[in-house]
Amino acid sequence: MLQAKPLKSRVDDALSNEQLHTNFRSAMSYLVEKRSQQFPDKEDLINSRNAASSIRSNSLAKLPELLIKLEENLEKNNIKVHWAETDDEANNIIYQILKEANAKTVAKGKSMVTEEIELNEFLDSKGIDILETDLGEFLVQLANEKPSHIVMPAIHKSRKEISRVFADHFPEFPYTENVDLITQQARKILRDRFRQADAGISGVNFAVAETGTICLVENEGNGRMCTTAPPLHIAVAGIEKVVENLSDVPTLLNILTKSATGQEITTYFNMISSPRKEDEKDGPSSMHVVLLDNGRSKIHQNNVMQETLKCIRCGACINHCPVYTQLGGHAYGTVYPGPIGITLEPQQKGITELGDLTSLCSLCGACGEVCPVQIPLPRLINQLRSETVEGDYMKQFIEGVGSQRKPIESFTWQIWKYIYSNSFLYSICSIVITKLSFLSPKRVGGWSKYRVTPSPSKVSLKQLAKQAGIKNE
Amino acid sequence: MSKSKNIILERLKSKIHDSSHEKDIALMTINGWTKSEMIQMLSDKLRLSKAEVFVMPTKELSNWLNEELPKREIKNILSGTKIAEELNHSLTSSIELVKYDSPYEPFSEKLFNEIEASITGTVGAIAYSGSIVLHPTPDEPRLMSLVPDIHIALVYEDNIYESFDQIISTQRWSENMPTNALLISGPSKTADIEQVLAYGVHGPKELIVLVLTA
Repeated sequence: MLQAKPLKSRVDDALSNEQLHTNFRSAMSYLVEKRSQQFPDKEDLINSRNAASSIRSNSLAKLPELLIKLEENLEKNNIKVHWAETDDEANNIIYQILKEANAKTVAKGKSMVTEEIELNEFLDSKGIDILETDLGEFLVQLANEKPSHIVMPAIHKSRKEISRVFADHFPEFPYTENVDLITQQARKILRDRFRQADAGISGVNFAVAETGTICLVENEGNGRMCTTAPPLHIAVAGIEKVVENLSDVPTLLNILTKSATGQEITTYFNMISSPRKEDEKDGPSSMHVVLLDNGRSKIHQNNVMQETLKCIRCGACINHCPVYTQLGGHAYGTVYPGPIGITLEPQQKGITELGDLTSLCSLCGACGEVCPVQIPLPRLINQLRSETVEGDYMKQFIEGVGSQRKPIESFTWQIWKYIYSNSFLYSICSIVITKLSFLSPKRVGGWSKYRVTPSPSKVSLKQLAKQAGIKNE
Repeated sequence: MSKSKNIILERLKSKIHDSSHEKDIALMTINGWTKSEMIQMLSDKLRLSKAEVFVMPTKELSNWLNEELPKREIKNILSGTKIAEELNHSLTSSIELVKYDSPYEPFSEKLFNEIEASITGTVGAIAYSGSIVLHPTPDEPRLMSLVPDIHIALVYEDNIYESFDQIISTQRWSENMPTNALLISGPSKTADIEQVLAYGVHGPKELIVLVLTA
């Protein structure tokens, strides 16, 4: 869903939108505050992060065997497993399953991985009626937009905008800006869909290899509806979602909900291990899990960047990112925004296309500090930044390594390096520059658009030190 | 084996494993809370999530229902056969006890449009997070705790555990996973519009937990 405009003008647009700033700043400080209330004890937080991180590292270290075990146990539980290497393949698999079941209407639970493969657009083009049912996603879909946050998809929209969208689509309901009333209207509209949909599609938060169980975290109940009421349920999971044991789940669930929305626990935690059994009265009669790679196995091979895959999609890094807070999610132009987005997306789609995203970072380090699974995001972002202009090792894993290198920039730095490593040249240059400082330009491109133009001092630091009588300066 | 499965697994296996990744699961410390401490904790946490909690001796259950359901203008209530049998003779005639005794499909319209409340059992509750735990059964199917506007859940005081870890290990879930296991911590809610909390978006608008003591 890359936007047509280049990154720079998307950033300019975002920065000049006051309303957007207000919406995001208040939402982010709210989420940051709520999270910190959940971790009053620092020691506790350290222990929880260590534990969660080690569980995720363990999953990645044993990934191939855990996936095989997961498949085995899911199949044992009568859940059909499919493997998709690419987004296209996943979309086609899902379409085939729907077609074979003669399913024409789909109720969908919130899932970032289906955003990643652009499932809605794909199924839409095949004539399948697919409806988002998470309230935020539903509103975003009605407005014909994309989520701007991975946990709170409609965070960029004000209540007024939402009321307008709602009234435009459902004139049968009176216009209201009352959140409770809008929520009740959505309840009415979507309940019929849950009852009548031919299929439900969801994502997966954790897939337990040991028991063949998929776990879903949510507050609204739409996820449970989508996975329980329609006769067919398809769950899409990135291959990194697998965990080894059921006993890994409480630790991850606990830190996920606290980090994401500052909740001790969400309203629902839904663990599904089987379609409807013969003696059961409800539940889908058939269940499928699509295991999606879409670049993940390459990231897994890359020793330096592998930790990207530990992510449990809580969004804490996004909520704490000063760049995201200023820009909002849409300026990134990618499915995943914020620190995790600029780390993951260039690895998936290549540096040629998305390398410039790595500049959306102030290197403040907040993301690394809050990540519940201790992904060293600042280090990974920095590493990727350098890969955009040079690199060798990563060429086998990431497309476009070194593609953003500009000859003039690299030439300039070569000269800089040469001068700075030669004391004679350095002193000549510093004399010339201090003497000729009046010649320095009044405007320096984009820099002086918002800032005072810097000009070389008339006296060098070395001279000042000498004057002050400092020896061995 | 599918072609993609091969490709993916080959790629994953090509990485030399770093065997140093031992799991360090910080199992929540067992605090050894007493029964009444756990009831207190569970009730406090559930109420924070806007659930209603009532603690009563088991024999008071039908009295409570006879008193409270009419007060809340509940005219029908969905229940499994087991609870229905226990209640049938003691419920006042103004309340219709509906059984979920046919498959979902022919029942769905009534379930979505006519049933006002449901009453289910639980396999326990978690004090730490204020959650009730359900393993739906043929007698108490999965949608019972989701579709009706009001969900009443019965928790026996002996089945309250300190943490999620504890209930999983004590009840040995991994040896015999139910088709569906649920943690429910309050009525359905959303904060998707300007972070304003709104209740009853898709699931029950009210969750009433009855903690039954000896």
